[in-house]
Amino acid sequence: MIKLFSRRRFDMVAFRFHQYQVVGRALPTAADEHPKIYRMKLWATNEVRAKSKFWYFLRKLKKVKKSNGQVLAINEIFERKPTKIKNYGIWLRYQSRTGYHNMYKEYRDTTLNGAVEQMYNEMASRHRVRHHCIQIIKTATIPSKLCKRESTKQFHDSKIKFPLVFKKVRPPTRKLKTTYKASRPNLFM
Amino acid sequence: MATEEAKTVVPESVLKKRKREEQWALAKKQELDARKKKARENRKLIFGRAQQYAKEYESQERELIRLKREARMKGGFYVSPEAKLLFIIRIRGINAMHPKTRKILQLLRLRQIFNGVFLKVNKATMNMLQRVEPYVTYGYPNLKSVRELIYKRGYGKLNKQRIPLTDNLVVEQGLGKHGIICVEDLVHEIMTVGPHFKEANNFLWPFKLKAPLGGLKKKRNHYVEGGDAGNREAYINELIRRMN
Repeated sequence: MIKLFSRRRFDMVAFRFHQYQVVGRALPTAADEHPKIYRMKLWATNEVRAKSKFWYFLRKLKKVKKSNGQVLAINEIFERKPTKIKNYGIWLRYQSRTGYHNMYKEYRDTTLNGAVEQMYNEMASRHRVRHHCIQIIKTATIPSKLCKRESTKQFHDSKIKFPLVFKKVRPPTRKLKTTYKASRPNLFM
Repeated sequence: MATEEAKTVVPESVLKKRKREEQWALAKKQELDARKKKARENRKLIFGRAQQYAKEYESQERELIRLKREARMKGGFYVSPEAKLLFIIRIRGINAMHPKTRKILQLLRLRQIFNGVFLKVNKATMNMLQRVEPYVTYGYPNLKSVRELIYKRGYGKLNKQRIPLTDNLVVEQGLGKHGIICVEDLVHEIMTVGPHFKEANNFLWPFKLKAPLGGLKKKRNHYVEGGDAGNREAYINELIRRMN
């Protein structure tokens, strides 16, 4: 299915989800002077939630909790090339009404945070999965040859053309922008 | 004009009263002068202290940055020390509460919704907070928050009365014996949990904040799950701006 205008793009700054790198370890004890340091990359809306998520995952993987551990560093990870269009593949694990499932989804976006946000929105709309039931296993940029989904592959055309079906009528200056106008606009191209 | 000839009889009581009034006027003038002099000296002292504190705060900030950069250069991590000061705000009302949590909130002086208090961090207070977590939100206030709260909504407890901190004299009366003679001293004591934090904090009446402009997200949930309760670390400052 060809989907035009499939993404709302006002991505100035307003990403809901930010990518953080959280580094933590268990607290040093008499038995273990230099416990192993673990690093995790995860998505959260802010740093407080990122730290909490970190302990959630680490508890599932290692025998350490927030009460006997410490976060050494938390840094936000920013997109290296936010102007280059990339195909992102996201592997996720989500909880549906009946059980846990794995999924692989592809998105075409300029930034990883944008792709992750698209993913959360899509999971919510298509599968009614809220964001706390989704765990991102892995993300990667996929070269165009290896993309699997038709909806991203349809854009892999250097001579892509599609018609603009209607004209967006804008006031010539922002000052003349009003909520109500006297006449309906003519959208014919 | 009472001359030697036309001697009017001035009653003795009037003479006595005049003498007494003279003495009182003299004493009053002396006291006023002494007070003025003391106030002027105090003023210099306060100014000096405020300068010193400003330098101290700035150097603390720069120190943190320097240590972080140093650690990163060496490939390690600089873990900043855990916060010593908390600001707690009660976000739930008074109905339907377990008696133990109710008592703990009373001990923390949070008897009304949207009351706020400062708190020192130690094992005892952290355990108390754990019990009342669903009813409060707390975090690490920064200097601006502490200043704004004390200047705008600071009231002191004098003779069990809630007196607004309109003048440094109020602070001096309450905490003079601990060396805290002005509002800046008080801010400094609270901010850098000093040796007389307990007295300074107790002197401050619990802050009565307004309901947050823009609203709370969801009182019933913990901050981490999209709500408002519990530890929200540095984001308490943003909430204080909206509630102050």
